[in-house]
Amino acid sequence: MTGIASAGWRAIGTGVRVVVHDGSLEAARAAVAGVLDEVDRVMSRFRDDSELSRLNARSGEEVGVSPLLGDAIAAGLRAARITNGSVDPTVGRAMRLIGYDLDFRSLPQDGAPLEVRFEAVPGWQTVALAADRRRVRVARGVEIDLGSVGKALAADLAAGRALDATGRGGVLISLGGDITVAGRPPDGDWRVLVAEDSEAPADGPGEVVAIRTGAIATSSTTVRRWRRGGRALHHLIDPRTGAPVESPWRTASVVAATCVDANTAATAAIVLGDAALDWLRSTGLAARLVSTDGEVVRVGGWPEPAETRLSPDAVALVASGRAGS
Amino acid sequence: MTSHRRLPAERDRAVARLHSLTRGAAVGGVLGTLLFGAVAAASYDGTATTTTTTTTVTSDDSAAQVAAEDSTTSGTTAADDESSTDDSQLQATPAPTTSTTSGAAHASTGGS
Repeated sequence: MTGIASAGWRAIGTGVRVVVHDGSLEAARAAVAGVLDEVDRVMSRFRDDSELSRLNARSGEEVGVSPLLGDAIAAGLRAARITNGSVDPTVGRAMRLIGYDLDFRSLPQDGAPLEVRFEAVPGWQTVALAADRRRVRVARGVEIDLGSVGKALAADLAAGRALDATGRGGVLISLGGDITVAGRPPDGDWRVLVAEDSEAPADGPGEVVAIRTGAIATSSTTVRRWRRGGRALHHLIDPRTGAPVESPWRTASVVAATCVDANTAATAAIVLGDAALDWLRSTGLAARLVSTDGEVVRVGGWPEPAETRLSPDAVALVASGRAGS
Repeated sequence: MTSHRRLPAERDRAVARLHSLTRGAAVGGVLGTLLFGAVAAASYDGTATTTTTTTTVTSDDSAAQVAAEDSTTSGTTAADDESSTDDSQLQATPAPTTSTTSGAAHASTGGS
């Protein structure tokens, strides 16, 4: 089969989209579904029987873990180290305290008031991971949440497995807007609509960019919001306070070699706030940030959208005040 | 041609000297082994063990609780885990380009 084929469904609490170029959609879909089943069994914070829930229940003990959970924890610790703790896997308890203890679709959108004393999260240094990633000790009382990095890692794994399954061509895997591409891209590369909400229809209006390799991810405070006692809450925790982050940026999109890195940078940018632009420039990653008042800032070579790009001659014309004369 | 034959007394002294040298070598070997083992034990960690010391704190003060704990897990810890490939920085890929192809995008990125 040649051309483009796609499929979509819901899994691990988010929308899944598989796009195949010149390959078997069914094979790719089956491979992705297999990865997501494993991810749900291992990393879900909302299943009492998941491996992560069992690990959190045994905080203070050294516990043997599966390769997938070991890799996910390693990815979370690396993200924390690289971002100097702006992205931290020990936000599990903070998430639970603000009421995010159910799959988001099961959360009451306007629940009763919460009495919460916010405090800094314990910190990634409280998680000890053996070099072979098969033994973990989480300090007593600490709860790991792999939601953000875990979804991105799942996208990276799913893209690799899907490409292996199709045996040729290329694939795009989107897990709630965390997108990884692999293999040979279609003509014009993989086109991605950059939106505030990953559930925006791909044929909707907005800025579209093209990528050939790697991944793109977006973090935003405009989705997964709920209210408790009249106060708006969201899922991006500031590890320094343990509370939903208050940032000058509401949305950050980043392109990187892997979805884990793109997601890490996007989340860190929101948390870093005013320091985000300098930090992003230091990483060399292309990024697009949207401020709370809607201003869009692009760094690292992120392109201007087609409809607002002007040729050098047009720019000179506008600057000279002769446009329209 | 003459031959030299030792007297019995000379032979006994030679045998005694030989026994003395043999005992000295044996004792030296044992002492050397013990010394080498002591130096090795002092300079090489060997297999680490897991030790945990926990002080009692209130359950709603996890930061203090964690700070009070002293844990050592075999292998590396969060602070020095270097097992990932190119662990120290985020990995870039070419920046995206503006799509020049008409038609719908293949997917949407956004918050979720």
